[in-house]
Amino acid sequence: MTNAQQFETLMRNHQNMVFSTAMRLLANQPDAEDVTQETFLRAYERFEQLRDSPTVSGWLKTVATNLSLNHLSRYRSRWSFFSELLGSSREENEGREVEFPASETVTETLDAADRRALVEQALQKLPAAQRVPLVLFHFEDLAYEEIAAKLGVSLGKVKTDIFRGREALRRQLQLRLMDEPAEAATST
Amino acid sequence: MNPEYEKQLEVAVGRELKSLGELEAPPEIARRVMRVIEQRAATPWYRRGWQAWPLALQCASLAGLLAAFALLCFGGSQLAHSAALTPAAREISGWCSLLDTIWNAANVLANALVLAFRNLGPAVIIGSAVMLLASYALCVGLGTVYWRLACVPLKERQS
Repeated sequence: MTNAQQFETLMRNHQNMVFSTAMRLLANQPDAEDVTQETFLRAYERFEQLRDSPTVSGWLKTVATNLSLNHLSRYRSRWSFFSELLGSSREENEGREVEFPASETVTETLDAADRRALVEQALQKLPAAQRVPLVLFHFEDLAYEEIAAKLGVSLGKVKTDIFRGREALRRQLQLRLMDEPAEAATST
Repeated sequence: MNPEYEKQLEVAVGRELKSLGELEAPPEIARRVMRVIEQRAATPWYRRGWQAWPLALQCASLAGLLAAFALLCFGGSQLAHSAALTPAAREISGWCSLLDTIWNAANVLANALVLAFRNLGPAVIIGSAVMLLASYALCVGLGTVYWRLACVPLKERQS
């Protein structure tokens, strides 16, 4: 097997993971494709070291995450500003932006694949200020402190944005919780 | 915020998100990447960025550039001090005054180094260089200790 063939095999084994990482952070397919391409081009430059490395998957994921965050950083000041300025009134509007089945029975009767598509769509419709920390928390398993350091924002803002993102998803996916206080939506 | 509610929310949303699995990458991505790799491999070295040149060529080009710059400074210096100048050459020699200054400064530095080596002896020079490096390492070490002991805990407390 030639070098190029070995690299192509590595790429095909990891392309879904890299693309998913970029797509969930960027919520934009052309940008996610560009980040995926750039990630693999960087991997090719270090293929000699990565070829037999057991951490190749982690390396690819870290590079894809960092490239996606770099891509978003151009807009970061804008979304930080809007997130802090608009607060919880915005999330009520965001709740109406997504077109979802209205009745609970419809969401309950969806099969698993449709349900996953619905969750994916809801996640991608979240504003970047909420989606990015939420993805870093739930998919990258980063702690709040690590997310704050990575995004260069305060810990309080990360917690608030993640809470708002979860609240928006809960409403859009009509998740029912046992202990659901009336002030939950406005408690931030 | 209600911590119990937040915990339930985290678990419920986390469960939904963890169930997603991986998205399928468009099949053309692999082809795109391989095409770019082939294009890059086919590009001759002189059309790539300097960082991508072979190491020997990087060294040779750097040495060549330094030699060309030294020659330029030397030429500028000679021209500035030339006695018989046409009006056009005099104007050019005015532009060369900066090159003359650089050439003179480099000469002075080189002479000072040669003098220092001759008068102080290699042992003193090597000792001084070692002391300089040790001082630099000490500064870096103290700075690192200060950062770890003072700045990092402060940042953690603030967050």
